[in-house]
Amino acid sequence: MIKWLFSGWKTLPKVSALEGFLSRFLFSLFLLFTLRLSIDYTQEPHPVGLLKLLHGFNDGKLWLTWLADPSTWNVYRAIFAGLLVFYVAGAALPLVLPVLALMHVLPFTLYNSQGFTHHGYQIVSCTLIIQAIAVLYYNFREKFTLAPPDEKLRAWMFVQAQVILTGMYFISVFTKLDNSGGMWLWNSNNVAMDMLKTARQSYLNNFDPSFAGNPPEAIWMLEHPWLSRLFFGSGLFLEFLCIFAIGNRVMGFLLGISLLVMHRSIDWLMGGVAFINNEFLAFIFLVNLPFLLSWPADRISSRWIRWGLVAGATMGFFASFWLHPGGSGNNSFVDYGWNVVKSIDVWNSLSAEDWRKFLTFTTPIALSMAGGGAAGAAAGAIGGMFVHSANRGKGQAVGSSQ
Amino acid sequence: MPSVVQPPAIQEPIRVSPMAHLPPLAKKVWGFLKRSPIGALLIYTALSLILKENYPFSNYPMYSNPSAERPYYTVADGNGQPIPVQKLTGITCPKIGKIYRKKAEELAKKHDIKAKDLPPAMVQQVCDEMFVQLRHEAKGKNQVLPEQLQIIKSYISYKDSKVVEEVELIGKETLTPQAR
Repeated sequence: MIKWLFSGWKTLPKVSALEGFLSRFLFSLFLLFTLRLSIDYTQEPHPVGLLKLLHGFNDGKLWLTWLADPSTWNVYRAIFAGLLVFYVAGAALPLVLPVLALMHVLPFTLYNSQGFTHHGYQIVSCTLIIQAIAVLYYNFREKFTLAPPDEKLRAWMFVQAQVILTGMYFISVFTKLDNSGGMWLWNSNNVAMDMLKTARQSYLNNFDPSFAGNPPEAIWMLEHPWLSRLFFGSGLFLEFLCIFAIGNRVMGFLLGISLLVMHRSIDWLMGGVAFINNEFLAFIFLVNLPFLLSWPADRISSRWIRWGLVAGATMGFFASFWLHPGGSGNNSFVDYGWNVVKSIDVWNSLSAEDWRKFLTFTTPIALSMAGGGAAGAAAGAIGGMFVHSANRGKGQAVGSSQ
Repeated sequence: MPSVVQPPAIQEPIRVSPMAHLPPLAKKVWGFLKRSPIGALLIYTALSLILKENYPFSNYPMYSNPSAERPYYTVADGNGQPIPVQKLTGITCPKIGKIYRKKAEELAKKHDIKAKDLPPAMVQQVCDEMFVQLRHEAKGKNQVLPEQLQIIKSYISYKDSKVVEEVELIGKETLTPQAR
């Protein structure tokens, strides 16, 4: 049992080509989602990270505020999206990934240089950075290639993404113990005070009446300090233990689901403090949606049918623009693409109406992908049979001539 | 027959890894860290704890010091009535606190004192900078702020089964609309 718990730290998991493709595809959708809003800050009053270095050269210059210009921002995102096409295809990764990582770091460096820190995007940028490092290291140590990643590199990229996501929780454990003088567990019942504080702040942001008053859950926790310690303390242990998800699919799934439950609980208790980026990354790299989706397809023994299925579903995804009622008739392809990306924001909503709209919007896409996949698989089967019989014919001809 | 003279063999310099001098257990640990993703995890953890809030790194200090009394900052008009700060400036209430603390810490560092020991004039200087920033953001959003702003710090606590709040004025905008 103990050996199994640590097994992911010693052995790389097998990541199929299809799982790698789906992983890059879902991560790309999510990356675009993180860039859905514009960064409209035109000052750099408290530079951090890269901006701190740049301000060291010339403090009087505004280095990144050009990103606040709406037309520049649109071009920037278009370039980013273009590079993501290469990333999803797995092509030219040693060239594409470092650029993507840098492009993702810049806008959020500007955002975090306003004197406050948002903690939602660090893990996203760091995932791109560590994948870029993994690809560059692989190309330096093994072989330089612009071809799609092989099994070893796919496993590296997957495991290193897990390192960043679980590492974030691991780091926060040390910070909690350091900032509280080692008393975090004992004082953890007072996290309920943060619930009260967050409710006040949420109300004062926009005078939203849904945040007015004291959350009854917080009051209950303040009245029951030992149960509160048990509740919040279990979160601390989960944050520490999640490093066992690295390289271990079963632990990844279990800990991924646990983290999702933890974040949903925090969101509910704190009144709208969502960690949606953490949750999406947990879906991709811990719960491992790409593996769950690819596993049945990887059981298909014929390579022709398998790749026909993937190619057909991909074409079905693009074809949905013309087949979708909200597609080409009402939108440009770019706007439609953004609608697809933004639709995943529904995960943050508890409104039945939002979910109904989401399902209405995504059902035609799912259907066209399913139809495309089925047609692709059939075409693959026919193509495979044709090639197989042609090869057999050739073999017989060679045999008879001998 | 003349004897064939063999050229002296070129001796390869013996390369000794610096890790070769380590004790066996340390060698084993080093080998594990080199091969395992845990090596990357430790580097990432160390970098994040050292660099703290320097994007893309962070030490993730959210809810790291729970205490029985929690402070929060708000922006109010000249009469002390809170304003919907996010709606008017795009800056949320938690960010007001973060900006204030950051500016206060930077100013305190310059004068080699602690942020909590800043004299009133310097606290006012921090607030004045924030008022300028808030007005700048509101202007960008075509929003109009009240003629005078205040930054208020509230302390929230739970005593005798009651939520108690105490309010402290941090700074009041001194510049007149004409002077702005």
